[in-house]
Amino acid sequence: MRYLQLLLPLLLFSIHTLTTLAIPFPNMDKSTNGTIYNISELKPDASVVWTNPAAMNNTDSVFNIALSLNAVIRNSIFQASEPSLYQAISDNPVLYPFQLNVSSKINSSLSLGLTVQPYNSEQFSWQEENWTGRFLIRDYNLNAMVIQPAISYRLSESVSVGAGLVITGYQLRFNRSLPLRDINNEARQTINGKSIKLGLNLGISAILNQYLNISLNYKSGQLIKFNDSEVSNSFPGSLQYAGSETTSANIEWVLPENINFSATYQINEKWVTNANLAWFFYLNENKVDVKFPAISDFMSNFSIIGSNEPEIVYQLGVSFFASDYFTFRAGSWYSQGNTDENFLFPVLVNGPRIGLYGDTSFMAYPGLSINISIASAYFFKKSGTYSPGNFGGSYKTLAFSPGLGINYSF
Amino acid sequence: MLAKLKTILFLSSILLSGCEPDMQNYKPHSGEADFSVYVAIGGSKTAGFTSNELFKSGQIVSYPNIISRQLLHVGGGEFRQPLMTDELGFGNKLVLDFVSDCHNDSVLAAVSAGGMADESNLSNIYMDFGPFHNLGVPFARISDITSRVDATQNPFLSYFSRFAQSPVSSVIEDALSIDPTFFSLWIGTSDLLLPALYPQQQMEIITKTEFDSYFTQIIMQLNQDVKQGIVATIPDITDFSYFTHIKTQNIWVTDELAEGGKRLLTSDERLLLSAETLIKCENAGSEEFPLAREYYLPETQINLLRTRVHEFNQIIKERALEYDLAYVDMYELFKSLAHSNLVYDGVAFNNKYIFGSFYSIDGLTLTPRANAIVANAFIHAANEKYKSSIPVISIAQFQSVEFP
Repeated sequence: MRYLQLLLPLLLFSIHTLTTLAIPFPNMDKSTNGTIYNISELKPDASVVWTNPAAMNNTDSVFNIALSLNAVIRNSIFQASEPSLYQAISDNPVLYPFQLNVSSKINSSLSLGLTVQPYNSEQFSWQEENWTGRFLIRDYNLNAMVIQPAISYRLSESVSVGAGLVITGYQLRFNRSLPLRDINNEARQTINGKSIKLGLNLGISAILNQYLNISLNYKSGQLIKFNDSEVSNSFPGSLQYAGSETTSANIEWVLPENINFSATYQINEKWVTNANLAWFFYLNENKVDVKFPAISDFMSNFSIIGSNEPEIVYQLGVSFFASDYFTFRAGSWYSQGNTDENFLFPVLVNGPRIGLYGDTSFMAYPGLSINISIASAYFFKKSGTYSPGNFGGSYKTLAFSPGLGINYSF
Repeated sequence: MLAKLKTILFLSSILLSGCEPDMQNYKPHSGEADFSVYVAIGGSKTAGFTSNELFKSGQIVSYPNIISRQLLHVGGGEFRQPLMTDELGFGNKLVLDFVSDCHNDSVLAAVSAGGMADESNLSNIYMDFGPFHNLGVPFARISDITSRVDATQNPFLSYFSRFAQSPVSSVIEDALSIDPTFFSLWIGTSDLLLPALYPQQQMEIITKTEFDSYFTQIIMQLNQDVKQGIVATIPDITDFSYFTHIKTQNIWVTDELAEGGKRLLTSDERLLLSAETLIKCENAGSEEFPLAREYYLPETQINLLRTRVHEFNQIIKERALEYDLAYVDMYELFKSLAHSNLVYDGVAFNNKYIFGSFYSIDGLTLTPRANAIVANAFIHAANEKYKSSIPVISIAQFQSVEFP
């Protein structure tokens, strides 16, 4: 049971470590009965801040607090469609997201929790000045601040349910070049938008016997609307009469609905294994519409349509409880990806991918533990075209994330 | 044990592989063609004439030069162009700038770049820099390709005299003199364009028979030495932004056949870009001051031009088939721009004047970015015909119209 008390905060930390990296995370040991960890794709929605809220009841500790910090390093390579030799490598900033999780048992049936993620970000940047896709996108940054209060209730000895309200503030910046230039500079367009959305995180977990636990979790998708977003255009001097104040953009950014099924099996005192199956589906398309005013006869309106395919992510993991002080975990996942080959926009292309992770927990003091993790994801080559822009090629991505966390529970 | 070790190594390599992905490039190959000596024959677009002038930086981004750079990946060799010495050429270059118009409004317009033409641009450079692989001659007609430089009446062949091997050589002779292994031929546009641009000179558009005779003669001569090449069809010149920029509504023109010697233009007719200032500043095009014939293309001439371009293109296609050559349909490429946006790399191209990204500010010739589109069209045609794999160029790496 000591393991169980220790592991929840560690896992909360690890969730963040890996989800920020767009890496699925395993439901890796018995302490997480009913917990379906996020296996989303770096989407700053409900799935990244909390697991199955029903799982809060599956720990014996009265109070847990976990703080985590990660570095996320990710780069993609683009190869233009054959026959072309053109290649470009994205130069994404290193992200340092962090997250705070607190949970507390009110009584034997009721637990409350709060997750705060003041900085979660998805960034992508093509820095090369003459990057050939710059008229579609140079870079973008979707920041999210997430707060999720959650409640968990034990229906019986073996069944718990939970619910979380996900409150997310979004800030989007989208930057591209315009096909106009003067002797020195090419015109640029930057769109800034803000939005606040609510989401739901619902779950149920069941202990079937002393070895096997299963759980089901639903996280609502979000259609984030950045209406009348501010658009600033830096035109060559002769075209500045068009101004920026009259240009507007409407953006609809879609985060998927998510259903997870998870099972955890305790092999023996030392070993626990787990499996996850997660299904993501999209109810809407991504849209970015920039409308120029009538006087801008030199610029046509600009639209991006993004289409995503449903996606299933498969994950397997194992935990080894080496001693009272050390626990080791490892696992991998696979997804066929969610990209539509006809709408392959030059950002992070979530094609087929495989990921590996490993982490170690060290209990420095009873109740206090330190966690170190490392994860890497390999995105296989994905080819396709963004048809509306007649822009095609192949993409590959490597991602890497070391993480550090501190956890306390009693 | 070895299998386990390999698995561990594989997993470790993924985990610790860092974040610099790589991707194997495809391998270009020449297929059934020999691209070692490429020669380009043609008119203004082949020469790199743009913004109403032939100048150095425009020539450097000519479509043949872009093709030649790509051919380097498949065994292509040196490609010499008769570069002008400066950015002014013969002094007719246009740039965009703000000017005060006749109403004292500051407007963006195509104006002369100014400056004096360097006299060295008039000297023959063959001895110093020849022989040349780009034998594009601005405004060359099909008959000029086989004409000796001193025997033609086409004033624009002064461009050719700059780099001709001798005063008595012709473009085709100079082309063959470098023993090319591969050629591109895009000729005939000026045969339709010059009569449309200068109606007052009453140039006759050559007949289908004449065009066939010249074209066949050129192909036969090339075919004696060079068995491989690409021919291109001729665009419909009435789609060029020079002829589409000014709207024809409520414009009066002189017409000897009309009642009272004047009439309103129909929507199917075309106004020349040169009429813009007259309409704006001198009330030209009004019923009181109808525009002269030199500023518009009547329907009869448009029909004749379109009939001819179809006839000429039919000949080009037939000869390509007959002589087993690659063929690129520039007519269709240019036509698609006239009907809608043609999108490459997220950039929309159309025949809108200045802002369409395709035509340079003279409204007739191409921007560097359009040259890249044209070059890629040639490359695709060559790849298809000769089973080669010449890499195309990234269009967005080239520039379009430059604004002040």
